[in-house]
Amino acid sequence: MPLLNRNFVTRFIFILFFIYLILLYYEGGYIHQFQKPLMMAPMLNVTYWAFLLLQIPQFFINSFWAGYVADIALFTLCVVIIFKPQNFHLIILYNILLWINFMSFCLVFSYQPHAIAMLLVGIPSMLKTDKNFSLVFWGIRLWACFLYFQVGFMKIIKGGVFFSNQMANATKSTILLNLHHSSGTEGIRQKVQYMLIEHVDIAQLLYVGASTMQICFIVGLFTRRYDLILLILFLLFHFTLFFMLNMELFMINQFFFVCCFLPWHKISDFFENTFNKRKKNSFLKEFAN
Amino acid sequence: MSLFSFFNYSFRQSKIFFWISVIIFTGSIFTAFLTITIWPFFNYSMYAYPIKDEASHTTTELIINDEVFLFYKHLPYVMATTIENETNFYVNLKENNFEDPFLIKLKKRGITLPKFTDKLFKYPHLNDRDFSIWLKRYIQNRYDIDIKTITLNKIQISFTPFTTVIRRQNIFTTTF
Repeated sequence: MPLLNRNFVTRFIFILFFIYLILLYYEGGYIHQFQKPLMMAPMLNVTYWAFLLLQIPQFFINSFWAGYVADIALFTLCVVIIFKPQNFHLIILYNILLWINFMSFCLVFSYQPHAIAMLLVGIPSMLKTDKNFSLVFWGIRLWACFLYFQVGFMKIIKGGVFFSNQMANATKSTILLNLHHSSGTEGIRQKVQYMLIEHVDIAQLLYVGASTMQICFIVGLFTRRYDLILLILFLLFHFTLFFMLNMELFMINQFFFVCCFLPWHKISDFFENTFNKRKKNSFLKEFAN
Repeated sequence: MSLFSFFNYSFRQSKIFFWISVIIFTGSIFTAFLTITIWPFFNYSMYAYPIKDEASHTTTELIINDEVFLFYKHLPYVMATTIENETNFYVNLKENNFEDPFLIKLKKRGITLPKFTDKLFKYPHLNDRDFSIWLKRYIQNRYDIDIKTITLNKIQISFTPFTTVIRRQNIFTTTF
């Protein structure tokens, strides 16, 4: 099993988290920004039932101080971990707060967004040894490949691929109010979305293309040789989804899976060689290690 | 590292981790086929089932100070989608005597949940005014507007040729 440079990978992931947390504030995704909502929808999710019966989200959402403290702690821990990636206690606390934040958000949002990559990529860093870190990290990569393959395969098994209006109907049901609110001031994105609704064949072609891209991830279950191609497919798929179905923050959540397909050994070697040559900059040398 | 070598290696290193991995992989297949989400397993078969053609779609409309509030234009995407989801959920609750529609679906199938789940699925104290106050706070948290009245309508939108409201039903109007 190839071992990863744990500190380097953890730092990179938490720099992505730092960007994510800034965007989260802009999108109103912090607990103190929910403004004490009155309803939370657990649906069939039994885990949420337990979460609600234990009064965990209610405690953070309804208490002014608890919400603020949790949000500030989440952001502060992220910054600290960038400088101290070897402190797994802080990483465990960070992941707990992140999960509480996300589960509370899902309950308030009354819908379960399926973009959960950012919940998973922090987990390997919680483990003490480098061997366990690498094992769990590669496990997450395999699960990501399995997930995308499964999604593409389900589209064939359940018949979505064979239904000619699938993409057009999916577009309509997902973004109808968004389109309605931009009536009269449509930008390029809205014009593309209207085009997809009107030209169902083009929309369905994109749907079949997306399913094919997803099925290609089966290759990742057997080898890492084509990870760069999978990375390009991943980015192409999600940018298209972001553009066509307006899935902005959720696309950013799922973007964390990019970490699974990067050539870590080459990147960390590059940083190490580059910054070791410039010996005067000790901070950058520490970052490479 | 391939899937087989990963399972082989983890079986030799840690039986607990091996079985957790097996459960996570098989659990996600199970929930995808059943189209349910139970953490930590997700339903990743959305958009896989054929989505039927509909002449119109139902959603909600907010009118603030006698003007239609275009929250997808004025607020960030997540906040706008939260407002849409919460208002749709509120309309569903109000139409079902403030009982979660999921609970009603179970009752129709003859399934009665234990009494302690009432805290999860019933909202006996929820009312139009309290919900309006939350909407006002939530919108004003990000958008600078002095809200004097909020009206929530249930609307039906058709897509032919562009989005058009074809039916409107008032849910409540609150004056502050």
